[in-house]
Amino acid sequence: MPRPTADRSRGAAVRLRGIVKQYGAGAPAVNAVSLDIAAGEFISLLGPSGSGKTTTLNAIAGFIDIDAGEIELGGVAVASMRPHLRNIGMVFQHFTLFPHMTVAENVAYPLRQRKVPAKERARRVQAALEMVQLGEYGTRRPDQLSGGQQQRVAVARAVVFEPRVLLMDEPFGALDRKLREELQIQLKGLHRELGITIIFVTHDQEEALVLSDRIAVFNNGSIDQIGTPAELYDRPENRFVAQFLGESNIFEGTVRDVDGVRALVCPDGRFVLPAPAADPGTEIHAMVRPEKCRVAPVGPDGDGLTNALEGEVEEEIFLGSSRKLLVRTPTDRVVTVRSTAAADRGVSVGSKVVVTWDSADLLVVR
Amino acid sequence: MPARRPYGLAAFAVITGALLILPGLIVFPMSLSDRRSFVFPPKEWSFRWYENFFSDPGWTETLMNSLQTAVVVAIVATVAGTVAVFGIVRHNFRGKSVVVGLLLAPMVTPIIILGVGEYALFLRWQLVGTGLGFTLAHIVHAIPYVVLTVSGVLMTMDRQLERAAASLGAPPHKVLRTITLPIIAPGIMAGFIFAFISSFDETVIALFLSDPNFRTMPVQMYASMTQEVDPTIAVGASLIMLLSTLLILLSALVFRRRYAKANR
Ligand SMILES: Nc1ncnc2c1ncn2[C@@H]1O[C@H](COP(=O)(O)OP(=O)(O)OP(=O)(O)O)[C@@H](O)[C@H]1O
Ligand SMILES: [Mg+2]
Repeated sequence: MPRPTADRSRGAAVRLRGIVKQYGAGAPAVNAVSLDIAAGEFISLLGPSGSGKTTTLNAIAGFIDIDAGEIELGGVAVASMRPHLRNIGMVFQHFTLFPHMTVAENVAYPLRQRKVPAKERARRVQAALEMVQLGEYGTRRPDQLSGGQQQRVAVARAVVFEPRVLLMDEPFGALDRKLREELQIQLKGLHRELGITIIFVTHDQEEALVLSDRIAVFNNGSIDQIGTPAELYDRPENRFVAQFLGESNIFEGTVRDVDGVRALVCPDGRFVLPAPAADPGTEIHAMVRPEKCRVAPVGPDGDGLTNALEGEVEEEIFLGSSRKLLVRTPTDRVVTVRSTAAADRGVSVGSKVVVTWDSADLLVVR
Repeated sequence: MPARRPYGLAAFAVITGALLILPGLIVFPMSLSDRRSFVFPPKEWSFRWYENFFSDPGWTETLMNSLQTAVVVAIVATVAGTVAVFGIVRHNFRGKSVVVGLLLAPMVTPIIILGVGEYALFLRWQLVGTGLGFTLAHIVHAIPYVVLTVSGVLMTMDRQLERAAASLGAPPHKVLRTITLPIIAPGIMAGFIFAFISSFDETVIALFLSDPNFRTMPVQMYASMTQEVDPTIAVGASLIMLLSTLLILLSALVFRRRYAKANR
């Protein structure tokens, strides 16, 4: 069967330049956000509650007036264009199907606005509903649909007029986990099929990792880092990104040369830093991911390794394919280790263990 | 479906309802009496008072006056009240609470005071005893009903629906026409019906504004009641009751359909 390939020419590039939005006094909701989104890209705006994701999306949609900055859609400046002229599809977190219209009438609404003739309208409505696997549901009322079905209709309605950009503000936020995962997969397929640019707001890191070509991590109204999921996970630029995406163990200390080796010296021990590290004497943070850590029972001779932390297993969490161990060190901090079951037999709650990692896996973060 | 039916509550509701409604319902059998008296229950039945009602211009004219006034009042109050509600609910401006207070004031002002005031004013403007005078006075009295019902639905309406419509390409006037108004229509409809009834059975202001040239049916009834024993008044009362009840039922039906839809 031929697989539809992404026709990225059907999406539009989106450029944000120094977007500022201030509500009343105090810190701006969005502060100098710049973002270059390629045509046909799937980008997620990821960040904690109140970090400015919705505000940014609403600025692109035209629902709010920005105080400064430029917004370009497909090379056209739109910052002062009314929302109904921007030709952007949008799916909201809350269900926004029009309650007084049937499902088919809802999907036909944008086509009516564009004066599409009745016959073609009906055909396109049906095609859009079939695309979200709801071809049979055209005559229903929105309140006769489940939450997941309603959001699928909302997606059909937002793409039926072939916009070049689709905005989604936590569209699956109100749905349960299993349904959410199902819809994420469908959305990925849809993105591949349509080739349009999708800007997807979420505060769920897993969702962002599953869906996105790139992720923009929002923090306090600005973007901390933009990159592919792998880049963000493997090379977080700062502690916020490191902690927000995935789990991390972060150590704070001073860089020193110990026996000719550059190392991080902190209350928990001395850890060898990977090659291009910071200058001696500087205070830095370094991070190691739990799955890069290993545990072993403390040997009889308790060898004074670098890159090693001694501690006692305080908690053991079964995660199916792996275990998570929380190890409390003598300095009273808790280090998280994720291990595959076979590798560390014999370690359980109460065990005295040594946690180690390869020095290449210790990342310096701001 | 509740597991246990609240029989006690049901009995309480039935008794309260009966106490409220039965005294009013007496007018129906009385309007069908054979005698020139208010004896209840009537011994013989007839339609003679209905004949009398519809052949006496004193009654038919005042009925038409009441109906015409109420229709115009309902239309004007609904339009004006709805527009005012959009201003109040959708915008912030200085003195907003004053405006809201003024709009609702006719509802809380003792109606006799409204009547006296309007009488004094309308005397000067030569509006006493005119259809225009009645209509203006009743519009003022009806607007609060519209403001309350319409603001109720407009405040609870999800504004994201309007954003969604805009994102789908609808300019503001189309959003209003195809999304906002249809969604708040039941509230507007209810406001219209309340405004109609508030004018149709309004008596106090009407007593002040009436003169031999122009009076409404409640005034005619009052006059007939104080001057003679004439069961035709029971016919008038029955007609008012019937019309008001039908309108209220209609609005209940509109709301109920809506409610059932929203909860299916
Ligand atoms: N209409 C408004 N008036 C005043 N402040 C607002 C308004 N909308 C948003 N804010 C503020 O702007 C900041 C950013 O809000 P925004 O809705 O963009 O956050 P978000 O990242 O979407 O968060 P969430 O994940 O909770 O949806 C918040 O501090 C919020 O309180
Ligand atoms: Mg938000």
